[in-house]
Amino acid sequence: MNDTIRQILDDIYKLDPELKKHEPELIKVVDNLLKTRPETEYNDDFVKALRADIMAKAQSLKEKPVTLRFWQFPKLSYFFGGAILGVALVIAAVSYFDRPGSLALKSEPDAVRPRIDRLASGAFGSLAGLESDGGKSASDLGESGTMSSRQNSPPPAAEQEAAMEDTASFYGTDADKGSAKIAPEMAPLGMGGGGGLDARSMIVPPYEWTNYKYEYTGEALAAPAAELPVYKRKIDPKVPGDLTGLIDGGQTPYLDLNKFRNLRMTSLSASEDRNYGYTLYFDFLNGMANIDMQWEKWPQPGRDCRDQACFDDLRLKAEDVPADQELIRIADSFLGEYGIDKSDFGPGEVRNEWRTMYGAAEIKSDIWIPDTVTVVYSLKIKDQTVYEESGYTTGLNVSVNIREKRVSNMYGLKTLNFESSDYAMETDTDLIRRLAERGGNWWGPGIMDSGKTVTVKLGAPKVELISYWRYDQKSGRGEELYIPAYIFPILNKEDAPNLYRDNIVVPLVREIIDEQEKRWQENPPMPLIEPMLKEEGAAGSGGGETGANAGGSVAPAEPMILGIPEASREDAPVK
Amino acid sequence: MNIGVDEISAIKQCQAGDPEKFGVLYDKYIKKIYDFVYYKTHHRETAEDLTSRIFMKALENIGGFDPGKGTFQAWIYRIARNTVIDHYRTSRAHANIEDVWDLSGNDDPERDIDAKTKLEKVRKYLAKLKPIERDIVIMRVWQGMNHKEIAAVMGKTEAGVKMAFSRTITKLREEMPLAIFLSFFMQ
Repeated sequence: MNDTIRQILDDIYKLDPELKKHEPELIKVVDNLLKTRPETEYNDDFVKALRADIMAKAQSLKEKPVTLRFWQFPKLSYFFGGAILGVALVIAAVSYFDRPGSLALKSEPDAVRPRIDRLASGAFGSLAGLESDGGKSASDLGESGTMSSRQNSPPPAAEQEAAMEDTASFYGTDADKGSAKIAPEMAPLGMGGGGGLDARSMIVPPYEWTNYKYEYTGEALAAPAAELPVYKRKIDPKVPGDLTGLIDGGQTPYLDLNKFRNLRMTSLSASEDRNYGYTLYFDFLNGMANIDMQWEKWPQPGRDCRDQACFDDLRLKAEDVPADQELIRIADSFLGEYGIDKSDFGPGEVRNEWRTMYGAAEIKSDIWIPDTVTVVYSLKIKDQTVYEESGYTTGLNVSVNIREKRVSNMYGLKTLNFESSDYAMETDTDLIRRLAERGGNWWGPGIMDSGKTVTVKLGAPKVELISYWRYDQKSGRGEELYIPAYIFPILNKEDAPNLYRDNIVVPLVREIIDEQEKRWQENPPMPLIEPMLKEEGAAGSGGGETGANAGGSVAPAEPMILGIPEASREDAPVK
Repeated sequence: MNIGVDEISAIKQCQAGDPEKFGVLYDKYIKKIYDFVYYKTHHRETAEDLTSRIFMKALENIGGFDPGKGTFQAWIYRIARNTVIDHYRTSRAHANIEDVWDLSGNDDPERDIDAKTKLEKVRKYLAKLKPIERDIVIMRVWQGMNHKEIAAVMGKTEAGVKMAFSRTITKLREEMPLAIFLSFFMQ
């Protein structure tokens, strides 16, 4: 036995002396590993050539002027004095950051990321009653992330998506209902609103009720650890100093800032004045930054259209959408160009729901080809991938404009400091399996006898994290929590092209499961007998008869979830 | 592993605006990183391409590296791990693939032909390991790194890495079929 093997085995025996009785086998294992070490074909020519490239790059970096680090933003204030605020911001930002590097969105410079402060068990209080953030963050709910802004906002995208999924069968040919439901994400290009066209929201599912039956097909479930850490994003607002001191004498052309007390900057936006320029938005309170296309500086197809034929001419074809690799290359290139650090995120993955729909559609022209396609770089916390409750990964979102082959928007960049605290996990694997087989934490609508049933097969789960949003009564602010969850992959997505999910999610925190069980018991999904029918001329109201025997017929069915008319739901869109 | 004065000095000078000092770091780590990437790809051109990307990334981001928070070796290994994962996940469009061990031999036309026979023997059991376990084996056994160095790369405690390595070797002992043992043993 050589010294290397001896050293390796000695280390192992220190941990578990019992293993020494298997020493002959262990020697073989380590010896075999050593013997099978590949020859790496290390090539001196390559090394020299790469060194030359590196040195050339180093030389070019030496000449590169700008570095932006998000955690340094408060220092911007030192540069504002005596200048018009908006102009000063841009000039100061560019002139201040004078070292080569990148826009690294982090609260602590150069920390081992993500930085996690470990707290005592249960430090975040009860987790029962958590509300999903649907992939959105506090700032998406309003600048301060307060409850009032949330209540006044349209439901988050994932909730809308769930509603779409729940009611998908009713939308197909009923354009008014479809557009009303998806409206918050459908602000068309060139029409203001900054919404853009999102791949998922533009697709109108075909008119057909589908029941989904989930079936776990993996090996016997392994119970998770009895306790696992839950993470909470730690927000340390980096608010620049007294705003009145930043502007000469506190006087602006519009008002006298001196009359305001302790005025601090909470957000900043700045736009590039160039073709294909961007608008940057910084939220200092929540430690976040977004980049959006500067609408006025981008082509606006359809702006001059006055009839449907014109719009139809502008519709993209499936072959106009570049391959995933090209979309990822565009997104990667954008992040690289603007120095956006993605080391806390996974590789880019293209959101391709439209392709699934397109592939399954009998009449391809019915499927709207999206103008933008999103590349998602999933957030990683200690090697765990973060998912939305819907089962899609979430993190850094980069939207690629298909017409221009350029990135049009980016959101999800934020400070990544966390606190962690252990919580009890559900270890009853039978219960976890049952939860997965009823659709996870989004169990969806009831079963309709007349619909077709698709069996959705679920594979063996991984323990990852799902993001939740919680309102903190004390601070009046939103909190982002990341909860351990089993992520069950859907194995036969091709059989369920209208199911807007790639995975089924079962949160593992016991308190959450207990509460879901309680909700399930108290308010189980009602069997849906038939789509509700209305008499002609009785359109509009969600009231009236709700049974299957509403008589007559013929107007399209009113969307209904869990037996409740859409108009009665709290999150029903305003019509 | 001792961190030499030259290395610290080179890092500081890079961060002070003289990235040409990066050459010192390159010379010190090029073989280790290239080998590590090769062990995870088994294909020379791929390993060279990814190694180029890794060092370019390191150069571009050296300003964000803090010697007080960890070693340069740990930092560049982390870049290397992520770059390899990026390569497989984007080129294969599959979220669960992290390195060549996650592919079957037939799925991997890029794999070097000379290495195939030898690797096929070891992959039968190495492929059963989790990616993290494989990385620990590569670094500990094939690259001779100590537990502390590996812990720094993996973002884990030294004790955690020791435990993981011990479990991995035990797992290999339990799962390695006798026939494979013998085939190696008889070579």
